[in-house]
Amino acid sequence: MAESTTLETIEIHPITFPPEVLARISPELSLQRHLSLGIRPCLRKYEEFRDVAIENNTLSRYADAGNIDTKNNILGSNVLKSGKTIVITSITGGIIEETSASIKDLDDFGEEELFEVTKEEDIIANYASVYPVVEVERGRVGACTDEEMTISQKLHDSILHSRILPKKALKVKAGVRSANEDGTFSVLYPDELEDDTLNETNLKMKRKWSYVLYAKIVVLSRTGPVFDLCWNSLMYALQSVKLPRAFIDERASDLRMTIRTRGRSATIRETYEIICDQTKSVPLMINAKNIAFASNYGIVELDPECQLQNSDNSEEEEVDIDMDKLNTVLIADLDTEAEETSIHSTISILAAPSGNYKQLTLMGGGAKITPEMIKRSLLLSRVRADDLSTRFNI
Amino acid sequence: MSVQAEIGILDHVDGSSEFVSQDTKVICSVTGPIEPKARQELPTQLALEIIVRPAKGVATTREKVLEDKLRAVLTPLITRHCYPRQLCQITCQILESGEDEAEFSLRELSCCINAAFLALVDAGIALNSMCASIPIAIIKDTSDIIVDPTAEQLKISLSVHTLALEFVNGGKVVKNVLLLDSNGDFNEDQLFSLLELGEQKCQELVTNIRRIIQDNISPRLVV
Repeated sequence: MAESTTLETIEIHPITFPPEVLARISPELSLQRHLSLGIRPCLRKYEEFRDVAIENNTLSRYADAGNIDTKNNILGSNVLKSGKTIVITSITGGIIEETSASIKDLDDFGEEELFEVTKEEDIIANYASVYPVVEVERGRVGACTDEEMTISQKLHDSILHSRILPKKALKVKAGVRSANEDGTFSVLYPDELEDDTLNETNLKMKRKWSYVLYAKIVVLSRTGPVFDLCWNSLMYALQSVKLPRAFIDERASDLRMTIRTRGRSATIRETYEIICDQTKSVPLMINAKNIAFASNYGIVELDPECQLQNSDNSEEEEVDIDMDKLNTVLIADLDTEAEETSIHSTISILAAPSGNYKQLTLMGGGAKITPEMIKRSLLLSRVRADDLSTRFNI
Repeated sequence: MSVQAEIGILDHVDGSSEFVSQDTKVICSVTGPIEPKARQELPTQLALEIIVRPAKGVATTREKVLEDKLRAVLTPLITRHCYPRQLCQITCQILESGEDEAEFSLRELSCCINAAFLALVDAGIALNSMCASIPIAIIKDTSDIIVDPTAEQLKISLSVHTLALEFVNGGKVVKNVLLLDSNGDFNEDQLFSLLELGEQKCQELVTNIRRIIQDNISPRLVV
């Protein structure tokens, strides 16, 4: 017995992991270790954003100004690259008939009504949105994930509430195609005509159409939260959208006949098609001052226990760390799995370069969000929005 | 913010509540802790399954976003490590939305948060703290900050906000902002003044909620 007790000395070897393995098995610890060195797992500083490279309108049918690709149905596009992640946004469109024409749609309302309408100018019902479908590629197929659904819906809601897309901008100003005497066809558009004669008589159409826009957003190599990348890409893409002109046939522009069946009479209108012009297009008139750019932030408490010990001199001073006074830091542009899974207090902001904000989401599941943190993130988001807004014109 | 609430209204679940604020009415049920499906199970924590059902029609992506936000509020509220490898189902059925559903969801969201909190209390799930949520709108032209706006007020609003705060110490101390979801057009000053006003109103609401819980529990206590 005495022998065995002397022999039972177990030597414990500390297990060490390479950084990438530690990041997988203990993202929280990996994050804290990095933060204690003043950097993040992605090797950026606390408030450093990823750079963004964009390419506008390269996929659209109007990409080559002189030569329109009529087989392509993309009206505006953007490819955005940020870090390892690539976001491809392509905007397509459709035309729907407005079933209930409200008073605002009528062209001949009087002075009084006009006043009413201008008074209500800013109401959300005067704005439209796009219908986005977000696809985050993960190397497998199947039903869409919750993340894809919530990002799509948030994009839709944010565009509506940012008041970027007035319904007026989506109205179809339809032209009329008429056959000339020599058998050729020509299309006349009401707003292109010099004299108002034709405009007043022939082109008065009782039915109204409007464009609807769909956005397909594909995210490749997702490394972190992607809402703001999708939003920024969508903003760039929307600014490059051109709507094809549309027209109807003159013969069908106001056709109506009465028929009788079993003693009842009914009026049947000619069902006519609205056709898109192959070549002519108009730019989408969006509310440029309401364009906003997205950025996100995380707030995390530095855990003194996870600090990497400095091997050289300063050990003596560091011993009495005040455990009650936790240091919280603001981290900009979250990326990597470690940051996404272990930071529970987040701020997401849509800032317009004008200085106003269009959307803000604070989620305080982790570290306390202080007013100072909010102020700092608002300031950073404004700077970021200013920077991103200049990219479009390049 | 005037509210009516009742707890323990359903028999076949562990906890339930009904929360009414103006024209918005939500009923919430909590079942748990129960055995989860294998894919829901978390080795160290309670898994949450959150379902929001709309007042009309079937659930769409709109309800998915509501679920997502509700989850963000409830996750830090529940002492999840008390129930490892278990599941809690929280279902909110909106009975009346009280707002234009195509444009807004803030009234529904804050009622769901309050209803879910009450139902969790009724179910006896361990909680870290209390929470209260209010909808806020900033009116166009006048820039008035309106707490608990009506559907008509939302129509003329410039920005809309949902605020949910976390309270400790008997509902007296604000611990953190659980959720602030703002949409529309607003500036920094407006944001901070609405946070200030919102804190005050949430405080009143949390006192109200405590009273509602007290009124419901005290008859059942054996003294």
